[in-house]
Parts: sequence; structure tokens; C-alpha cells
Amino acid sequence: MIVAENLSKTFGAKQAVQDVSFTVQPGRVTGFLGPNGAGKSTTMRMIVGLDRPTRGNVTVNGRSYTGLHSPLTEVGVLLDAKAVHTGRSAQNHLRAMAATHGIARSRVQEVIDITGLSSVAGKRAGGFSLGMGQRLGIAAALLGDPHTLILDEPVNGLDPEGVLWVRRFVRQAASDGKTVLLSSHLMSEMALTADHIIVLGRGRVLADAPVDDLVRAWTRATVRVRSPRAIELADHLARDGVAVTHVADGVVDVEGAPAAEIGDLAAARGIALHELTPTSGTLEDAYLSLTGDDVEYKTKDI
Amino acid sequence: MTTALAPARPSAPAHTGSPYRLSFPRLVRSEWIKFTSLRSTWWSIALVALLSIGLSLLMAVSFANFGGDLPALSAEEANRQAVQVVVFSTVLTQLLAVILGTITVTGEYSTGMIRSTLTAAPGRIAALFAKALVVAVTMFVTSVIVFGIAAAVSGPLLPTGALDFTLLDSSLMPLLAAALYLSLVAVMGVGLGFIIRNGPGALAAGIGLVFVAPIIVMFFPQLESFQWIHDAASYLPSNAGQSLFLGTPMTGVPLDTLPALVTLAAWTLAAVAGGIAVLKTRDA
Repeated sequence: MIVAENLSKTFGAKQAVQDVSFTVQPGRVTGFLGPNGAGKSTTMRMIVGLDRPTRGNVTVNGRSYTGLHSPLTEVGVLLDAKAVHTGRSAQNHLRAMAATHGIARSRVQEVIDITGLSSVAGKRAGGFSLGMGQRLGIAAALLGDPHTLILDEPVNGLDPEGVLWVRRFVRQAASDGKTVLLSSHLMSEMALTADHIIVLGRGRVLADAPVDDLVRAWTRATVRVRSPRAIELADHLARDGVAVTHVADGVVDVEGAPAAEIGDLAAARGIALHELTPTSGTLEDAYLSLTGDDVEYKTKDI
Repeated sequence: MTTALAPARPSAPAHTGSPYRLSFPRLVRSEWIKFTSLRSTWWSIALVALLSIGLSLLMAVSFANFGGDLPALSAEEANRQAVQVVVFSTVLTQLLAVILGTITVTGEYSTGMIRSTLTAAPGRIAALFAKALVVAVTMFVTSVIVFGIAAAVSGPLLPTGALDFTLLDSSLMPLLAAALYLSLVAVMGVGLGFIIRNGPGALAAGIGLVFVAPIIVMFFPQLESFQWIHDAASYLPSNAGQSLFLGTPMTGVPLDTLPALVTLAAWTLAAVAGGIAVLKTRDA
């Protein structure tokens, strides 16, 4: 379990993380979601003691990370794929990391096999692609078979097979009762992987809820209606709490009325329907409405 | 009758967790793996060997071809000359020592490896000491071996004879002192690496301190008003080191053994203490 209390981090005049509190529970995958510059990585760095919080504190299993007696067996960390000396082979990197805790060489071979690095283990890490670097970072995180995993953008640069592997791996870890915190700015990936999501924007916690709740609270369900007499139908639907948006000629989106009610009404009035599709919101919609004003690097509409 | 016995298991209390633990000897082992698994380490050591042995041979040859009449030398004086032939190369190899110490650290900062190192050893200071220890011991042992080879190959060429190891004070001791000097210079490099983090910056500081500073002192004329500069220069690391194993420094006045040792220790401690201060307070 990871508990952060009022974490704040200031770099010069920039408030990277402001008064962030959250709890990462064991037995489920918690996702850290937020736009670039939201403070995800800084928060993760504070959890493992690389950055000192300006205010507040964070504990892993009740203790400060810097006070752990065997950090690698308690917490597996992947902060970025390039936390490896470029001149050293993958195998020697892992051997050196394992040696700090007296972890057996057989375990080094094991994590190399698990992450599919066998064919490149003897090659210098400097020549690795982003995906290979990620696999090596994950291998290092697994060395001590830790019960807490902190993975910053683990699927970044991975090929589809690797993405699938990471997704299965963290799901398995969570179902084994481990604590898993992973960050991503890929909402689709989060929707597939995480059970619980903490949304960060501009260094603040914008939401902290199960994925389904988040989607329900921050998106609106609509019904796509296609009919030659769509406008007429819309007029009949008009009442308090129902909003109709014209999408195209003969196509409207109705919000606030269930599909059944629309269908019944159309039947009663003898209006032909060519399409009646309920759509629920996605995590992407929820995320965008949550972070709308909290995106640091905002793009212009094209 | 045979009884199938289950293998005796130590009755471990529940939830002791993993048998793996962080410890200083293990950190040293890890740093040793890191140190020996980089090509730059072997290049540096090969260059130290090449320079030391090559320069000692060159000096021995030039002594041998000096011609003219050689003054009769006492055994101590002959030893002093033989030692000079062996350790004169430190003028150059001290650069490799400081570079080796520095890049051991700055190489981790430039590649991001330091984040792996410090998440494995979040107390940080132990990792610094492990690094310093590995660099110091490797540099010392390498130097002793290389000086031994240099003495063995240059000795037979010397007109005054090879080193007489029965006189320890004028043979083995200066060689050990020179090896200690290179080892401490490498540790200074480690300290500077942690203080400055940036490779070129730390290298400039290290080379400036051990190599450039004593040369700059040479440009000050031997006048009364500049005397303090020459006196202070005696306490530069390389001058103190040369007082220790050559008897006379490049610049400054010779120091006795104890003040020379204390001076070297002080520089090393200052660099390490500075490294600890920065490592403890700054974000990685």
C-alpha cells in the first residue's frame, strides 16, 4: 500500500505537485492518468525517494522508501527506460542491480527470460530500442519479486505483443494481491488495464475513483437517432432535461432520454427509425472533461 | 525400513518475506560488477600500465645513454634514482586516475543509471562509499602491480643498478606511497563527480586541481611578494604527493612525510564530504 499525504514539490517557481494525497490499495491496478507535465513522474520519484517532497510525505507499506532494508524486494520501480548505463550489457546491468541485495544469478536469468530479453542480454543497453529499454527496465523492477510495483509509462514504445504482456502481467500481479501503480497518458490503455484511477492535472488530484464511477460521473450517455423525420421527432421529445443536438441531416443525438422512450415515441407517432444507438461515455471523454482547463501544453484546434 | 523424510526446513516465522537484503558488502560487489563491466575501465587501466611501463623504460634508456662519468652513488641514492624512473609516469597517470574516478560517477548521471543505483540503495551514502572503495582499491592494486613490472623491466637498464628492496625505506615505501597517491586522486575524482555531476565539468575541475594548478604556480616569479603562493602550492594534491614519493614536488617546497600524507587525506576527505553533502541534499 502506498499512502501519500499532502505531497507538494516545487522546482524553483514552478509548482510541479501541489498538496496531493492518495492511497494506492493492494489487489488492484491503480492508474495515474494525466497530461504531460501533470506531475505523475515527479510524484512517483517522490515515492521512491529520488526527489525530496517540498512538503508532505509518502510511505510504502507504512514506511518511508528511503528507510527500507531491502527496497528491491519490497518495491519494483520502472521510472524511465533509460535508467541504465549505455555502455553496459543488459545482463551485467541486471547482475549489478541484483548484487546490491544478494539476489541470485538464477533470478537474473529468470527475469531476462520473463521479459523476453534473452537474445539481446549480452548486448550493450545503449543500442537498445525504446521497447527493449522498457523490457530491461521492467526486468530490473521484477528482480526482487516485489509486492509493490511502480511503473511510469510501462507500455511507452512497446510493440503490441509487449503492450499485451504488460497488461496481463499487471492484472496478474494485482490479482495476486500486489499493489500496482502505473502511469500513462494513454486513456485507452488505462481503460483496459486499471481498476482505479487517479487523475492528475497541473500537479493536483482532479479525481480519485474506480474507472466505472469516473466514466459515469464525467460523461453523459447519449442516443444517436437517425430518421428521415428526425427534426419532427426531436420536437416531440422536447421537455425539461432532454437536449437534442443536430449532428447531420436526419441525424440527432439525444441526451436525457433513454433509447426505449425514444423508440416508443417514434412508434406511437408513426415515425420510421433508421438507427437508434445508445452510446455511453468513454474514459477518454471523462478525462478530457476533467482535465479540460488543466492541460499545461495546450494545442490549438486545427 | 526407509522413511521418506521431508527436507528439514528452518522454521521461518511467517512474513519474514524475502531472504534478500541490502548490505554494504553487497553494494561493493555491485559496484565492482559495474566497474568491471565497462570498457572505459579497462581502457584506463591499460593506458596506466602502458604509460607507466613505457615511460620508465624511456627514462632508463636515457639514463643508460647519459655517458660521461657518473658520480659514485650510495645505495639510497641509487634507489632514489630507480624509484624516480618508476614513478615519474604519475605526472601523466594521475590524470587517468582522476578521470577514472570522475567518470565512474558522471557516467551514471549522464546515462540515468544513477536513478537505478539510488532506488536500489536509497540511503545513498553507502553507494558513494562502495564506489569510492572499489575505485580506490582497484587503483592501488593496479598501481602496485604496474610499478612492480616497471621496476623489473627498467632496473637492468639502469647504470646505477636496479632497486635494492632490502632497503625498504628507499624502495618499497615510495612505490607504495605513489600507488596510494593515485588511489586517493581517483577517490577525489569520485567526490568531484558527485559534487558536479556533469562529466566535462567534473573532469575540468579534477584535471585543473591535480595537473593545471601546479603548472600555473610556475608562472609566478620567485619574488618575495609571491612567496605565499609558492608556499601554498606545496599543499596542492600533486605537489604533496610528489613530496611523498619523489622527495621534491614540481612546484612549492617539499613537505615531510606526515604533513604530505595529511594534506592528501584532507583533499580526499574534502572531496568526499562535498560529494556526500550534494548527494544527500539534491534530488537525483
